[in-house]
Amino acid sequence: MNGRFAVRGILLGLVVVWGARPIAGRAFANVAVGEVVEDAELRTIDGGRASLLAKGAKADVVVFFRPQQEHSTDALRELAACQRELAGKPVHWVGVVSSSWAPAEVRAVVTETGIRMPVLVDEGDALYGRFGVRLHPTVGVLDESRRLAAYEPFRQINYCERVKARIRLVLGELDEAAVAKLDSPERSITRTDEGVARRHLNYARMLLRIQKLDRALAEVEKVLAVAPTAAGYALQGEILAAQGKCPEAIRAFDAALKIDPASSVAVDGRKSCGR
Amino acid sequence: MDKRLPILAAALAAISLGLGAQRADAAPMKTEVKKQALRRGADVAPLPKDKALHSHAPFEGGDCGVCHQNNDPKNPGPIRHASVNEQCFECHDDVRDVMARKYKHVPAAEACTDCHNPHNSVETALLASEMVDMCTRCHAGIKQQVTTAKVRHDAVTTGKKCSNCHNPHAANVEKLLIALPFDLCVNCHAKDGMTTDDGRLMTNFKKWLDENKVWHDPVKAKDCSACHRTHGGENFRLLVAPYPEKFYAPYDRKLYALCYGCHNDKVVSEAETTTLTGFRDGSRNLHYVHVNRERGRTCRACHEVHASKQDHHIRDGVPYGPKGWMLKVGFTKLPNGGSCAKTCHDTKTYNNKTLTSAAAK
Repeated sequence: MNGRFAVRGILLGLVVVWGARPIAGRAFANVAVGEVVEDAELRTIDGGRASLLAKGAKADVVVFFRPQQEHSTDALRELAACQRELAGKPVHWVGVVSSSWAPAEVRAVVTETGIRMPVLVDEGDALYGRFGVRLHPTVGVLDESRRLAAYEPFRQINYCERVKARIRLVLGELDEAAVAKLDSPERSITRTDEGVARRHLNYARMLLRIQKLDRALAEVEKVLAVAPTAAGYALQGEILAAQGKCPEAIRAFDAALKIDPASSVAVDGRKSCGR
Repeated sequence: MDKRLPILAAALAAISLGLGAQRADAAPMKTEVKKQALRRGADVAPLPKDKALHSHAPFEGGDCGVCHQNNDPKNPGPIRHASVNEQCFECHDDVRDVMARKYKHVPAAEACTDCHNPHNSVETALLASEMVDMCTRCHAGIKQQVTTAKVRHDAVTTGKKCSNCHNPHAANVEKLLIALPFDLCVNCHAKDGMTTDDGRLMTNFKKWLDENKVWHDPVKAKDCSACHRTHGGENFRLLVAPYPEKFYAPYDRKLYALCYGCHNDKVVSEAETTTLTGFRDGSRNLHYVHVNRERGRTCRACHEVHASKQDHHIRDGVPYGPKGWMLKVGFTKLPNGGSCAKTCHDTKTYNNKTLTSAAAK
């Protein structure tokens, strides 16, 4: 019994470790995904001091940005939305700006975008150099053990989705498969063959309702030619029955029952034809 | 001095002649713009039959009762459902699934008849009017881009027009894109022989990206719109911000607004650094040396912007002479930096691991 629990525990541990693996790929020039990041205490734009990383946080989100840059403003706005969606979770957000920017200018962009985080002033771009930050804006997501789990430079499309997914991966709320799915959304087409078949079937049903039986039958036959479904045959049976053609209707109901023995429309239809 | 340098310079300058001066406008990089108040309710009255080219099947068949309370063309009465969309979904229930996607077009969510005439139309899909005209009645900023842009994008006005890239109902990607930008762009830009309006040959990107595996970050991120204004724009190659068209250009920060949209401009403006770039010899910033001068080399002199075979997006060669013969860029990555062998200059090595320059050793 204990052995079974032990095996389960090991398997669960493997799953947890697998789920918490960093997403491989892009990284800062000097800090690779999976590497541990050292903490640093820096001056903030408000004149205080704050740490880059927070004790007790399950995820640290470090945002490198700058004022006077459209992408930074857009990114902060997107991240503010992300922040609201992740409110209440153990996530620590911190911004880092070069000391070459005036604090008032940095404060203005932070206020404008609504993001809530301390902003550290990077004297002489030392932290930028240590990380190897080549792009603005860029986000680093660190896990509980302060390993870089994800590196996300700004993108125009689905940025909040991507960053949020990586934070949730670190928090253990998503697994890699779910993140991969979010990263590669399904194509958003409207018209599919299956959808068009459904439309014709529904239309046939509408025509049956207003007693346009010949047209209804023609519609349903179009559907059956491309998608021979139980629902299609059952509707064909209903139309034929309404036309008083019970032998043909029963053949249609039987075809429906062959595909779906539980088709209540077909069962009831057979009964209405005296079978 | 290498005797080839002036020859190369002259040839490249000659290639560049005739190209227009770059505008340095600081237009916003993103294409999304203010929308006007949403139009509500297209004209849903049927067109005279001799004017319509497409009809909705129930209307064509005179089956008013499919949608209306009375099956009488002379007195159809109101529709059977309180909501227009619920009425439409009675047949078009596949669109109900579409509308369950995360990003929804507000008019589609409110009433199908904001865009479609449920009876008949001269347009396909029973659109109440021509697609670009209809979309840009609300998306007025896009209209301005589409109609007045110096550089136009055919994808907006040909084929399925706006819906080449957008799903006007709902989508799984922001901006109602059918797929991530790269997957849409490379879908078309995957042919040999495509040309720009001024006759220049365009790259077959599928082939190029297959052959060159070091991809620029926006390409990896499938974010073509990071650099290209997809509805039309003022900069060559639909770039979202100014970038020098010529191989050589005097350094002016404004001319590199495209690159500085993401990259730190201090990479080029600071003569000395130990943090901003790996392309430095000791603390001597070699980007500054190459670019920040009267006759500076533009980024593309050394970097391939979409994809390359070498690290740091270093291109294989630079075009040389009137036929564009490729002069090999002999870059080698070294443990302490790199070296560039005889191309534009004699072999030079740089060391970015110490404050001591390679040349000093």
